[in-house]
Amino acid sequence: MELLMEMELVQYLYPIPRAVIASAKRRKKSMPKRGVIEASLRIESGSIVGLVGPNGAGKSTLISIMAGILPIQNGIIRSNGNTVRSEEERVNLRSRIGLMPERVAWSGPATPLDVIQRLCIIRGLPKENAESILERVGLSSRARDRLSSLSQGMRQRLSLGASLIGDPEILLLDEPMNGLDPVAQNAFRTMIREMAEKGKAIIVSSHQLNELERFVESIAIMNHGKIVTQGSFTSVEHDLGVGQRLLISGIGPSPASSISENPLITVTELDEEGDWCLRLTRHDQTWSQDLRAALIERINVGNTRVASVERIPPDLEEILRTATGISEGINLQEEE
Amino acid sequence: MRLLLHDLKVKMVTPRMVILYPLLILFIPGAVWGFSDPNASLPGSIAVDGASTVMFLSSLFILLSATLGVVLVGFDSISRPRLTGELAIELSQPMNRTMLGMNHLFGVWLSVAIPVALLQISSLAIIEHQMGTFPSIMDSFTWIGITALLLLWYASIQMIASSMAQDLGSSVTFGVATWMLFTLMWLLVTVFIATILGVDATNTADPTFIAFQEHADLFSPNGVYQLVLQNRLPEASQPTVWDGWIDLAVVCWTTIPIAVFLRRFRNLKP
Repeated sequence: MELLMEMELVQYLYPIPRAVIASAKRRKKSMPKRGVIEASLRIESGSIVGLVGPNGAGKSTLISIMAGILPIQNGIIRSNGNTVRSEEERVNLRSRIGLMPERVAWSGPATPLDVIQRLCIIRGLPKENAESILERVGLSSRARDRLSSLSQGMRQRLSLGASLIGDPEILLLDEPMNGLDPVAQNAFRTMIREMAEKGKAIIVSSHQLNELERFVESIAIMNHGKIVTQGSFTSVEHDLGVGQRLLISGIGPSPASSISENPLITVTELDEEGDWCLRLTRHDQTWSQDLRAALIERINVGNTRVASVERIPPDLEEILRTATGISEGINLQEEE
Repeated sequence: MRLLLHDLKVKMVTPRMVILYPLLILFIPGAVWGFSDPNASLPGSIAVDGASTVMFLSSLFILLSATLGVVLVGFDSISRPRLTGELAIELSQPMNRTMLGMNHLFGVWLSVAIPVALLQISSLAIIEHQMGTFPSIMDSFTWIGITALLLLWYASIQMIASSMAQDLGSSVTFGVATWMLFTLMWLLVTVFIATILGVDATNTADPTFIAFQEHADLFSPNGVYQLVLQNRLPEASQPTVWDGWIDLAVVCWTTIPIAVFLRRFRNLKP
């Protein structure tokens, strides 16, 4: 995989609104703390990275930084190995990037065709390309309708179309599934996979974790402006210690009591088919091949026999909860 | 250039422009038709003694219509795409921000300035039809050129307002308030400042006050516009303020608001 873009200890400080500064001065209070984004990230060709985190974690801001819209205060951004500093270098970076921001409320008297043609012109492309872009996102029948007449799903498609102009190497998609119907979601996933196969790097920020799980290969978890952990699902599971569940079933007397003797394992008896079925959760490490073999050997004593062993992968929601410390139920994290 | 042409093509057929066109037709060729009519009797002691006077008098109607047109066309040109998220897509494109900002500014400016210039050119024919003589090339050039510059000044101010506004309401309020200040309230501001500085403002026909007013007008785009046109009138009607100050005001009104807007646009966060 080729390294397309790299962010090294990048830092962005949110500006404090003037009204807040004035209010703090008037009340003789100390200035509020500035929100900060601190991140290091590598974007490789052909990768599909899910950017997840609770509300206010800084996902959209990080995407804007990657898109070259927000300036960074510290750190280094490298594009194709070259450090991005000047506006000209940011322009070059932007030529390799396609951005789909979260929920663009396209409005006004223009049409989807006008919008895409305009963006084609900005990118220095013939405006005739607009028709094919609209066809690609299923909007060709609405190309000449007014923007204000489009549904939310249609607007999402238009935003997606805008991000595809110029066939960019890196696609930054912020909540792309919002408002898309199931058929469009499926088509979207297929398109993303095809683009990744062609060597494009795709960063997808989403709250729909179950949707994200279906097509991302690796994740970066953000919380309070920082990337808490990143990597493939397996490595993140390992880092967070959430990949320790095993579903084991068999015949003969249940081995639950003998396994419970190990304080590092929690045993939950499940009512499944067969003589017994247990869910085993390790508290120290993941169930490696060796540990699983040792466990089977220990159970297969007397008339007890293991019929099946299955590792239960954690879902993205569980990973997110573990990484960010958000507990189950309604738990709205306060924004920084 | 391609982008500007595309934007103009879209902007010039928007509903607000379609509403604006009849107003501009009524205010520009309509005013010229009225002022250039040899049988017309104008209120007060206004005497029309030539084409330059017609153009000067009709400038009042341009100030009332075309400048308001710029405000109405430009008030949401930055704030609306910023609020909807469209600006984020635009700023993520590989185009220098200064160029993009210039494109926004020129898009607003030219979408009003082009129809106004066309109406002014047609008004020259009306003057010829009514008075039997075409205005001089220099007078015509000054009239059309300074009107275009006036609209550029308003467009720049409106773009600054639009880039500052956090919502559409504050953007249009800022634009309309600026327009009202320079178009309707400026005399009041001048009188107020004159009184503070000890200039007798009780008699607005007093030469001392007129001289003060002309200097105060240098700080208003409408004032500068009228001073430039007044300079084309017969000598007795010309302003007393030094020409150099008028030229300097034209340069300052052209460069400073544009520079402020472009600086804001370069640092704009979507």
